Amino acid sequence: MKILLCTDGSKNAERATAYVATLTRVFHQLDVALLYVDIPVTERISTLLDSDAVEQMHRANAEAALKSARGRLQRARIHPKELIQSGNVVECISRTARSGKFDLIVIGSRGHSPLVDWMLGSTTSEVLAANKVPVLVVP
Amino acid sequence: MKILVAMDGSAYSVKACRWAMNLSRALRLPPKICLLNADEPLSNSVAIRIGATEAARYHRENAEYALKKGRAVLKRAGLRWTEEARIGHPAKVILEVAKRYKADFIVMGSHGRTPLKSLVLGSVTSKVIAGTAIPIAVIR
Repeated sequence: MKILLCTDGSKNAERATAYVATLTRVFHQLDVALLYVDIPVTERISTLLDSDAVEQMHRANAEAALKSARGRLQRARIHPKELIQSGNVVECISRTARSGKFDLIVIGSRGHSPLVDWMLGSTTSEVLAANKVPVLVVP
Repeated sequence: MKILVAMDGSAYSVKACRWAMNLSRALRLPPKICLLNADEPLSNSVAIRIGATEAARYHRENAEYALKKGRAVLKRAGLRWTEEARIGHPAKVILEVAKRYKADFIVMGSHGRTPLKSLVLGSVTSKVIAGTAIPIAVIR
């Protein structure tokens, strides 16, 4: 079972991670990749910063988002492969799921976006629309 | 592992059932699978006009149609399952049964029988996602 676990470091993503950690007991073999997608800097900002600084910023963001997920999974004896990308979140998730031949995408029902009243996060619903890989939505 | 599969007889729901069947091969222990059909109730005026016996038959036939294909998928794979046919608003029924059954997750198609393919998600699926405290696998 190849699982693509998408995280943005939000509470909901944490719940998705916790859920995946419980799956290790029920599956024969669980192959988990942890994906973090950072939003690219605008063109204006990229002209002001050199590429090293941009790279460093993406890496720092990724580290902040991945740290607790990594710990939680490792405690469940899952050693995830970590994927860090920058770009359109939905496109990155869909592309990775397809090219990596994942069986399942796991995602929280909403992420960092402040529209908490909205029943389903925009990223999550777009991921549902954009690809044919089954999606497990964790509330 | 307890899996609740919501069936309405649509191609999407059959796909969801097939996915649950394939998933069970990757599990250490065979799962407990429940096939659920939630049939929309008839409007009062219709129910009164056709009478209780006819109404019951109508719902029985709908449930049979919805569950039949899922049953075949699981049978071929040598899996065991239970069935539940309920009359009520589908999203509400799915949420209720999932909770009572203590499902580890719900499996359902991204769309059901409504032909509005342009929608990202079918109305029942999006209502279930909005209301659920249990993870839900959406199959396209």
